[in-house]
Amino acid sequence: MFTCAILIKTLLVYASEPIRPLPQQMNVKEPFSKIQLGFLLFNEKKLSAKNTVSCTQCHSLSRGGVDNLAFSVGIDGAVGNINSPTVFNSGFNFVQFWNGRAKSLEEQIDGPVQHPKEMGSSWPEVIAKLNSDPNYRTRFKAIYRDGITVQNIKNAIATFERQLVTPNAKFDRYLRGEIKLSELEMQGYNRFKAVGCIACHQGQNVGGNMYETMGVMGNYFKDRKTPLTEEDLGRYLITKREQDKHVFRVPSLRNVELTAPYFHDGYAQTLEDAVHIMGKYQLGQQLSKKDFTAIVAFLKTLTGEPPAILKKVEK
Amino acid sequence: MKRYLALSLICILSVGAFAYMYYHSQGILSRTHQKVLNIMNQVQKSELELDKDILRLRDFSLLDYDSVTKQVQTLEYFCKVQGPELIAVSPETAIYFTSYCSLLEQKFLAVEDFKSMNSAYKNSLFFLHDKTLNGAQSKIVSGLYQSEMQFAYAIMSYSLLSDNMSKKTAEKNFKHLESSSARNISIAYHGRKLLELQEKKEAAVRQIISPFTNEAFEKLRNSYFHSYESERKVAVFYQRLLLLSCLLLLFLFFINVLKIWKSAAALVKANTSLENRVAERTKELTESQKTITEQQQSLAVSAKMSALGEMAGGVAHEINTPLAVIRLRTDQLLESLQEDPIDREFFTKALSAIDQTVSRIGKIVNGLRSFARDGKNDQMSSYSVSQIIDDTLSLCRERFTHRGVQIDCLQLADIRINCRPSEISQVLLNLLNNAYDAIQNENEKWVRIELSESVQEVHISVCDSGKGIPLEIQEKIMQPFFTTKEIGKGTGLGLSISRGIIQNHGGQIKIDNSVQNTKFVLTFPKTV
Repeated sequence: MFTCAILIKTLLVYASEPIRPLPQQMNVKEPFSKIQLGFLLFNEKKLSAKNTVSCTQCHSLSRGGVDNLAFSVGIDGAVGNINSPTVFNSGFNFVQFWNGRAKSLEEQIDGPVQHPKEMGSSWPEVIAKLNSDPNYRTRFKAIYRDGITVQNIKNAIATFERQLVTPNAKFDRYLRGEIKLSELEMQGYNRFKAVGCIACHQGQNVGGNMYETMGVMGNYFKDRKTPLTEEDLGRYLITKREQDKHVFRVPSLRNVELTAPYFHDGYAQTLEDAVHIMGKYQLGQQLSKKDFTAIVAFLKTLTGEPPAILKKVEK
Repeated sequence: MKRYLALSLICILSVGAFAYMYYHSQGILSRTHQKVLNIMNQVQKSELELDKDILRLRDFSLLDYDSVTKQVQTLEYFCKVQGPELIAVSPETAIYFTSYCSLLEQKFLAVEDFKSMNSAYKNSLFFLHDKTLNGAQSKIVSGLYQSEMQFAYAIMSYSLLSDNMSKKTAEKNFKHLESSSARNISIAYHGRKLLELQEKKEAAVRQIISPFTNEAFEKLRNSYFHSYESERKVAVFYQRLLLLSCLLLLFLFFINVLKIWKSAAALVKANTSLENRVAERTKELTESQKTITEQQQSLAVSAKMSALGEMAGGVAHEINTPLAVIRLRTDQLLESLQEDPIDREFFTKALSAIDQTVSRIGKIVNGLRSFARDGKNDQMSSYSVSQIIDDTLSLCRERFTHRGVQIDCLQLADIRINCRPSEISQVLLNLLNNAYDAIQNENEKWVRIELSESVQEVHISVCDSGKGIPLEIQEKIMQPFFTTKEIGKGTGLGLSISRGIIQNHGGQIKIDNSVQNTKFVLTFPKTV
């Protein structure tokens, strides 16, 4: 009866909440060898033109899946023009990239590999380099019938990326009824909902499932006072519709504590800055100091454990 | 060879035809069809769920777009992967599929727009609600608060009704609010946002729940069923054709088997009847063989009889001549007894002539006696060949001389051989008679007998002045019943019997073709 009560309480807690906890364990249908191969490729510098840049350069697995830079640095020290989103929990996003031009993790890989300022390579080059390595040849042959192809490389990397889940955040445990949040954190969550942050940062990934204009309630770009870049146009680059100007994918707030700086242009250096800007330009509200601290405290509860898979593949 | 070529060609063609029919009889497999049905149900359900979710999100405050995202992803997967693989199987279906998917694309855009606008709208609505209906009571500035309240109510009803009347009311209230407010810029901001977003949001919702995609989907579904039906009919047709061909093949096969079985039975029957007939024939033949052997024996006997008869005639003739001489001499003697004085010299000469002639007759009789013995059962013993030749000659010399046939006898050796003398004599006599008959009409008439020997053999040859025997009939003359003489004149058995006798003695009888004349050579191995 006690367990029944806990179960009901658990269901009640997060059945009615717009945020759901991450699964504690992923149902892995893929062989471990594929995940390990994906891990190797994720760390593989040969994916870049001069064998200097790997995925981990911008999506570091030890720093919350990002590089903590406003714009990432690619090949030959080239500075990019958009902030790198985190690779952690990226499998739960409904599209990839700030402007949603990739519908899946596999599609996303095309971008950095071929971007002149990121890895600056091409698929034939990459395949040739991987083919010359007997280790890769045997690994690929063991998993895929047709050996080293573009599709298989993407499949391996994406399979690995899907395993990068950070479960058991403090908030997730609260949702499951395992723990209680502190009063400040609880207040933060309530304000998060009341003020309206929850309107966009909802769902299992606390965001990552819709598009929204950056600057609903105010002209963010004008007030930023830095020149407008192509990336600032957001989804307009893809759909070419007027209403899609400055529309971006709503990022996930999980592990937000680790993924500074924030926004597509990395403009906000701290969480407080970010909350302030969001409040002003998205909600059209001046948040009080009390609200700030509470909401920031709440956001910090969204940090989960590092992905368990990393311990397995690093062996 | 040609038959096998034709047969193998027919085999290959029929195998090809069967494979073709089988391939076409598969059509759209029922498994695939079931899969397609499941997928189409799923798509319909997803669309329904999507519409429901959108309406729910519009009307209720609970915000979680994950379910909507899931429906969209399901439908996108259908358009990108499942559809092209399974449904767009015919060109007609493909067209409906493409139009459905492009309509879905537009719907997806509308969904994204709805999400963005819905969130912003809800935020502003709650803000307004918060500030006006709940939170601002402590800061009542009566007129202002009233406008805020009125606008709040107006916008809420506009949100629910979405009609022009409510819109006008809301806009009016907003203008009133704007003009009177300096206090709270954000309220005005939010208010403007609300009016802007409400229209757009409703337009998005209308587009999402419009039946265009449903209609397109129905068309797609009908088209699929249509092509499935026709494919199925084709497949069924080929299945039936295949079945029919198989039955036909089976039928032909059985007919062939029956034929083979029947012919096998007939063969067995034919074999048995053949065996029977053969047995009968063999019996007949054995009997005839017996008859023939008996007849041959009687013929041999009669041949010998006739030979004997001939010989008897010859002997009679041989004896007649000396008898005539004796008669002449006795007549002469009787005559000379009348004379006076008796011529003693004449009497002595005549009586010694009679005496010689009597000896001659004795010799003939002796020769005949030895000939007449059936020597078949005698033992072979050593005899002088010359003696045998002499004995034989004595039986026919007179006849030959009478007809002017000269007989020469060349005895180059005196040899003894192991033989049955009467039989050898019979052979020699046969050869001599043949020679005598053959040279009747020749100008030159002579017969020569030669006796010679080589290292291991004894040769007796009988040569006559005839022109030789034509090569074609040389083998035939040795065969029984072959004769060149007129009917009744010869039995045709002489040479064959002679050959048998000579072969019994281990010798050979041959014709020597090196001379122009007819020359028979008897060869005997020498006795050690």
